[in-house]
Amino acid sequence: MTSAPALVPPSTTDESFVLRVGSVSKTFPGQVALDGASLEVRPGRVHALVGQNGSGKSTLIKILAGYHVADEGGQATLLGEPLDLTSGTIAPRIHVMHQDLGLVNSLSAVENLALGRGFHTGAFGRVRWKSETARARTSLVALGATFDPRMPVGELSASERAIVALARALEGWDDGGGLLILDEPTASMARPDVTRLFQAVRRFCERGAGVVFVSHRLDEVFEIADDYTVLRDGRVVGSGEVADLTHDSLIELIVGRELQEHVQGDAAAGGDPVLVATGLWGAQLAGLDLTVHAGEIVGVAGLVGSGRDELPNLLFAARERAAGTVTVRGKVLGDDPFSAVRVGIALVPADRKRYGSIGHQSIRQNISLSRLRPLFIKGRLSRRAERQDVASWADRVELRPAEPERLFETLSGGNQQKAVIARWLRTQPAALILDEPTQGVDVGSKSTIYGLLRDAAGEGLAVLVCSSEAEELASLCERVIVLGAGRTVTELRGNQLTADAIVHWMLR
Amino acid sequence: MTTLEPDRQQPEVRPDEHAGSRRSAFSRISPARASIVYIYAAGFLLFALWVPDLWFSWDTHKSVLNISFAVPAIVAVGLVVPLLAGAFDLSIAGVMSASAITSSWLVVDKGWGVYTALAAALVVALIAGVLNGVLVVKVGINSFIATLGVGAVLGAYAEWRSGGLQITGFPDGFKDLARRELIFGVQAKVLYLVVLAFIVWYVIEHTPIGRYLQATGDNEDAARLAGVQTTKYTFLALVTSALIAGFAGVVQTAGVGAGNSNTGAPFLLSAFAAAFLGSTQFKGRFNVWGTVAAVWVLLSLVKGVELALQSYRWLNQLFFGTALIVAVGMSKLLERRTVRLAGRRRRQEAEAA
Repeated sequence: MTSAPALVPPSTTDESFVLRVGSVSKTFPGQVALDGASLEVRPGRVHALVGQNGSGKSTLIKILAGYHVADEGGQATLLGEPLDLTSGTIAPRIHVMHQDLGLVNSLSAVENLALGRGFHTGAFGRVRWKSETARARTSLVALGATFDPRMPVGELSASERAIVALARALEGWDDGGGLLILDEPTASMARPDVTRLFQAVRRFCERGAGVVFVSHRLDEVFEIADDYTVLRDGRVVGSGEVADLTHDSLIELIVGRELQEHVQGDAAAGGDPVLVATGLWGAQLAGLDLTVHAGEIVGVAGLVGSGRDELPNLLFAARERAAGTVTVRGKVLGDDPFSAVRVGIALVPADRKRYGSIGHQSIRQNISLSRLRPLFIKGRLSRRAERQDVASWADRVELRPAEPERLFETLSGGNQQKAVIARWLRTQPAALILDEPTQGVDVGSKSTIYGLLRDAAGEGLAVLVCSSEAEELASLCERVIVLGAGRTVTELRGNQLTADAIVHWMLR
Repeated sequence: MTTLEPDRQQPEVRPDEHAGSRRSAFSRISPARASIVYIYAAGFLLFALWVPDLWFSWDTHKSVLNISFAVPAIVAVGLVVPLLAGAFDLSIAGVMSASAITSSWLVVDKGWGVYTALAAALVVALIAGVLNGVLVVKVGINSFIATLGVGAVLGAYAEWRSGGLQITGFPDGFKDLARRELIFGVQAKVLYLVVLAFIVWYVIEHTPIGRYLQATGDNEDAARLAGVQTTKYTFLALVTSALIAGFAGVVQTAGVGAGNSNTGAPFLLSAFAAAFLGSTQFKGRFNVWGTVAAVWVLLSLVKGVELALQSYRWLNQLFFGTALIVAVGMSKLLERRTVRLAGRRRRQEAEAA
C-alpha cells in the first residue's frame, strides 16, 4: 500500500459530497487491480475518471455498481450515509449508464421509462397512457429533449437514446440527489450527438446529482468535467479541478512520463507489399490507406470508435465496405469472407466464442474447417489425413491438451486462440489479421502466440495486429499505426515505438 | 495402409462427446447413444409375446416397409439436410401435395408419360426450393416463416389444380413407379429410400459439404468467418429438401394410386419427429441413419399396437408427436449434462494443475 493521496477519512456528517470513497482496494488472483484508490464526487459537478486500460477504473466502477466486491478496509459514503462496498449489490441512489444504454429499442421512450418502475395502471390493469406520456415528456423536456416520447427508441438518434437513458436514471430521484456513472457513453457516438448528450448531462447535474464520467477522449474531459481523478496501476496519481490541467499535463498523468516529441519515421520495410488497402471507408473508417509488407508485423492502435475495431472486419470483407479496395499480392478482395480466404487473407476475430469457433464441435473440426479440399481424397473426406494434419498443427501451436477430439469449448482461452491461429496458418494465407489476439489469453499462451506470429512473419507472411493493448503492440510489432477518427494519426517505428508513445498518440 | 493412426495411443474420448469416428462397435450402440435400438428391442419382445402369430409374419413387417415406412423416411431424410444447416423447412408438406397433384393431373388429365410427369413435378419442387432459398438467404426471412408461407401457397396451388377432388385413373405404369416388387415383395419405393439415404449420408458424412452444412447450422457467424459460404449451403439445403419432398409426393401418389391435394399433410410431423429423434441417436446431431431408424421404429411400434388392439387412426399422431417432444426434451437434458460435465472436468483439471 503506497502513496494514495492523503485523504481525510470520510465522516458520516459530510453533506458536501455525493460520493466519498477512500482506500478501496481490489485484489484478483495474481493481480492487484485497485490499490487504495479514492474518489470524491461533489453534487452538481461532473467528475472525470481517467486512466489507461488496466489502470483500475473499470474495476472501481464495477465495485460501485456491485459487480465486484471490494477488499475489506475501504470506506465509502453516499449522500452522507455509509456505503458498503463489500455487499456486491448496487445502492439505490447509484445509477450506472453503460455504453449500450440498456434500452429496449422496439419500445417507446414512455415505455422504456416505465419498465424499471412499473406502469401506472387504472381499472382492470389498464395502463394510464395519457399520464405516463405526460410524465415522460416532462422528464425528457427537462433534459432538453425535443423528440416525441411515443416513438420507438430504436428510431431515435444516439444522443436522444442517451437522453432517454438519462431520464430513466433520474426516475425516482425526485429530490435530485444521487450518483450517475457514465461508463464511456460517447465511445461510438458522433460529435454532434456528444454535444447534445453533454447538454443533457449538464441539466441533469444542475438538479444536484453527482456525475462520474469515464472516457478515453480527453477533449471530452475538458469539455464536460469539472473535477478529475487519474488512475494508474490501480492507484490514484492525481485529482483536482480540470481547470488546473492542460491537455499535455493530463496525458502525462495518465501515461506516467513526459513524452518527447516524435518525428515521423520514413516508410519502407523489407518485403514486397502484400496486403494493400486504399481509400477504405466504413462506419468509422474515413478513407484509410494501409500497406503491410511480406514478413512484417504491423500493429494498429486506436480508441474505441477510432476505426481500429472495424478495420479487421473490413479487410476480411466480414463487414460491408462503404468504399475502398483491398488487394493481396495484386488479387482484389471481393465482398464476402469466402473471397477473402481465396485471395489469401485470414482473420482471427476478437470474439472467439461467437465469431471465431464452433464451440460444441471438436477441435479437429474447428481447425480443419477452413481448408477441407486437400483432405477429400478418393471421393471421401479422409478422417485419417484430417487427424494427421490436425495433430501436426496442434503440435506446432503447442495446443494443450493436444487432444483434437475434445470439444473446442473445453479448451482454455489461450489454447482456443492457438487453435484458431492453427486453423488459419494451415490455409497458408498471404496475410494474417488478428483482432485483439491475446484477449482472455493466459501469459504462457501469450508468449506462444507471439512466437507463432514472429515465425509466421519470418516465413514471409504479412501480419496485422489490431489491439487495445499498447504494451503488446510495442513489443510485438515493427511499426504501429495509430488511428483516430477513422484516419491514420501517426505511424510509430524504431525507437519511437513505445507503449507510452502509442497511448500518447491514441489520446491526442 | 496399415500404419497405426497417430492418435490411437492417446486417452479415450469420453462417450458423451459426439465427435470422432474411432469408437468400438459397442459404444456406438450404447444405451446413451442409441436408445432407439433398445426401444425397438423392447417393443419387438412385447409384440412377440402379445401377438406372436402376427408379429412373426414377414407380411407384417413387409407392410410396414412398403406401406407406412418408405415415403415418410424419404421425406425425413430430405429434411435432415436443411436441419443440419440450421434451417427449418416447413414447406415439405406443401411441396409434396403440389408435386402429387401436378403429376396426377399431367398423367391422368393430360396423358403425359410417367417420367415426363415426374420431371414436371420435380420442376415444381425445384421452384419451391429456390423460392425458399431466395427468401431465406437473399431476403433474410427466418426459414421457419418463409417456408411456412411457401408451403401454404403450394397447398393452395394443389387445392386449386385438383378442384378439391381426388384424381384417380392412373395407368399401371405410374403405379409401378412405387409398387413394382423387387425382392421378397419389397416395393420399389423402399429402393428409392435406400438410394437417397445413401446419397445424403455420403454427402453429409464423407464430403466437405457435410462439414460446411454442419458448421453453418452450429454457428453461422463463425462458419462464415472461417470462409464457409454459408448462404450458398443454406440455399442448396433448402433446394435439396424440396426436391426430395417433391419426389416423395409423386411416389406417394403412385403408391396409393390417387392424387390428393393434401397428400403431404401427414408427413410434416413424421419428418420432423424422425429427424429430431434421429439427432439424438448415434451422432448427437442430425444424421441419416438415426432418422431412418426413428421412422422405422416408430412405425413398427404403431403397427404392433394396431395388431394387438385394433387400428386407431390417431396412433400415428400420438406416437410421432410424443417422439418429437421426448427427443427434443432429451437432447436439451443431455446438452445440460454435457455442459455440467465439461464444467466439472475443467474444475478437476484446474485443481490438478
